[in-house]
Amino acid sequence: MNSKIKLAFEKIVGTSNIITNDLNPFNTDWMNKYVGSSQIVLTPQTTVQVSQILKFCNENLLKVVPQSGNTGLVGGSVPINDEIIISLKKMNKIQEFDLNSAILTSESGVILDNLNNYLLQYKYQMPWDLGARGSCLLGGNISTNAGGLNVVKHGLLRNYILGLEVVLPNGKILNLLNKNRKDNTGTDLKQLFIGSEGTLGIITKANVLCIPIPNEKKVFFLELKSFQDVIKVLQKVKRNEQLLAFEFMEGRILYKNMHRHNGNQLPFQFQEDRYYVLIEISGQSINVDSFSMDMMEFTQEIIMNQSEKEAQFLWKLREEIAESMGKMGYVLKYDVSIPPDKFEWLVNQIYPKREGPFHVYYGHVGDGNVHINIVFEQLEDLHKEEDKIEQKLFGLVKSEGGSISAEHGIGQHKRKYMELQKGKDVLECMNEIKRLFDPNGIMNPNKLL
Amino acid sequence: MKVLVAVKRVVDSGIKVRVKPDGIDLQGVKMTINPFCEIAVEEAVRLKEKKLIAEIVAVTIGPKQGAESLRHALALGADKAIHVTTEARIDQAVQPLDVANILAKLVERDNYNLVLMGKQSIDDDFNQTGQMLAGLLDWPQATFASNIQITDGIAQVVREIDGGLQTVKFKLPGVITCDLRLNQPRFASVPNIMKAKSKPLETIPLDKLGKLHNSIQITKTEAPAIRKGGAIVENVDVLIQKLRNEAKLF
Repeated sequence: MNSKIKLAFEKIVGTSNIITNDLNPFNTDWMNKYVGSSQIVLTPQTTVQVSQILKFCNENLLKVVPQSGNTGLVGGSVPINDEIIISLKKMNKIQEFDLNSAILTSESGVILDNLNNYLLQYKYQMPWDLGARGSCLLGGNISTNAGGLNVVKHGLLRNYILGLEVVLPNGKILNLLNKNRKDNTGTDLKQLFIGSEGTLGIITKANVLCIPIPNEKKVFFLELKSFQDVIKVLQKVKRNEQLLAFEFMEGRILYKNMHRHNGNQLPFQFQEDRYYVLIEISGQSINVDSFSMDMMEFTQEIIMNQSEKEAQFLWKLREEIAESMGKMGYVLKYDVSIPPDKFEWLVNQIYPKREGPFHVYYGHVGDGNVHINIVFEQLEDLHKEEDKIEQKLFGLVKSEGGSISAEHGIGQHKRKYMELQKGKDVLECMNEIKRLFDPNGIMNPNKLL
Repeated sequence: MKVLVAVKRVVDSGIKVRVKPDGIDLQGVKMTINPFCEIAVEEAVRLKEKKLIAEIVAVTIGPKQGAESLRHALALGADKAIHVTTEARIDQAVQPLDVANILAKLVERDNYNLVLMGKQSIDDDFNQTGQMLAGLLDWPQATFASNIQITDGIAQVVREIDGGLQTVKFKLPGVITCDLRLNQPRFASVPNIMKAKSKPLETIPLDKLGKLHNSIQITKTEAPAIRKGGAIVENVDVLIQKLRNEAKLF
């Protein structure tokens, strides 16, 4: 690390906000798949510091990687080479919550769980939820338009961001903060930054529309004989406004994970050839009976939680799938959007008769978003198969009018498929906007575009 | 053989309790069946599945919402339920001796061969009601059961005690209180939850069976002190100094 550069950063953030040792956790992604070689991590504590950092980096053509919780799954939050990492974790002040408008104003470095803990006293919660809630930060969620478990009821994160404060690559602070529910005053610039994965600027503050904590929730677990039955149940219950989450899982992974729960009562004796669905409903005063009748049209194999503990256990069965597969070997992870009734077909196109390495599909079928995980015992086998699988998978997804990334984003992983997904013209337009905001190409280079 | 299973409705152990000066804040708080009572219901259902007992009756004492815990027991496999109604706070004013007296009245009325209960409730942790009931009925008792066998009217119970395991045997009728390792209760199935609605549920006002004497008064409820950080000491002399001057132990 050039000592003049380090000195300049010391002047901006102070030595206590510069890390040059033990950088492994910052350089490595959550899956241990992507590893960079940054020599320095900065942890600014104010927007002005972020602005000064970016101004300096832009003037000196120094590449940077903005980093939040580093829980992304496409290598978007770690350096590829020795880019300077700007960590937002110390920008962690929650500023206020306006109870009348239900609008939260917060810096972007607050952990999602902590936002929810803060909102508890007002009986409100964040409008999105995902498994990484204990580690992911607000800024990372916004810059990736995080999806998660409740999109089927609450919709996209995008719709709940009313305002942003963004620092542009040249250091200019763009004040897009807004605490009005409605504001039709021209081009909605903040939408550019939401989901652009840190390539256009750094989000430092946000105004978020929050939602009331429901009075009642119930979790159901269903056993179904075929994937088509999953679709039939989905079509029926999707019409019910109480539906909060609809997650489906193949029997083969639940069966394999049974040994993790010795001594615990399971909702069913999982069978490899069955399909399982976790349904959660919520409301201020829920009607369990009518919902039960709807589900019972398709199966009698339904259990319902009676306590909070049972609800947490049922969710664990779903949320541990990613981690349990990670323990089986080296995993290729895909996250695509495609009409829900085509999930089974899609997987059978990649592995006819479901032969080949152990692979599982599961996920937010209510949103048309399927996760496909493929496990390889040897890393070389993964690398050998990776391109072949992706080209086939993404080609099929594109031909069905789907999306190669429903919620995980592009990062490093899917950059080379952007032209396939978006087409030449759209991609060129995205690149023009990138060049407009970041002419020197310093912001999270070689990611997304 | 007829079994009475007593169940208590308590604050759900999965949520954080809020402490007020006059007790735990129950306002809008999720409640559920006491975990040890649920184990008792599960055991009764398993005994019925083994055809060792013919009928399971679940009973609870409490306000209107208490019926939900009875519905849960019915959904797990109980045949009938009895709701002894009272508006008194179940976590404070409904105390072991009064409960035992009420249950004794029901036992005399309905002639049960066995009473199964949880060993204690997670709100007051008294661990007294089963024992008192056995005393009032002059029945044998086996507490902290981790295994129950019934053969020809003889109950053989393995009890978890401080030194290990103790096996006791007695001729029914008797009272058995259930401990954690006895079984893992099943999930309630939605079809069974629906069927439970048409199972018989008898409502009896508490004063028809007994009285709440409030002989134990709760004088104070407070949250545990927030744990302060520890410190590493250099040597024994410093330790002794801290024990004397800071902890004021001697």
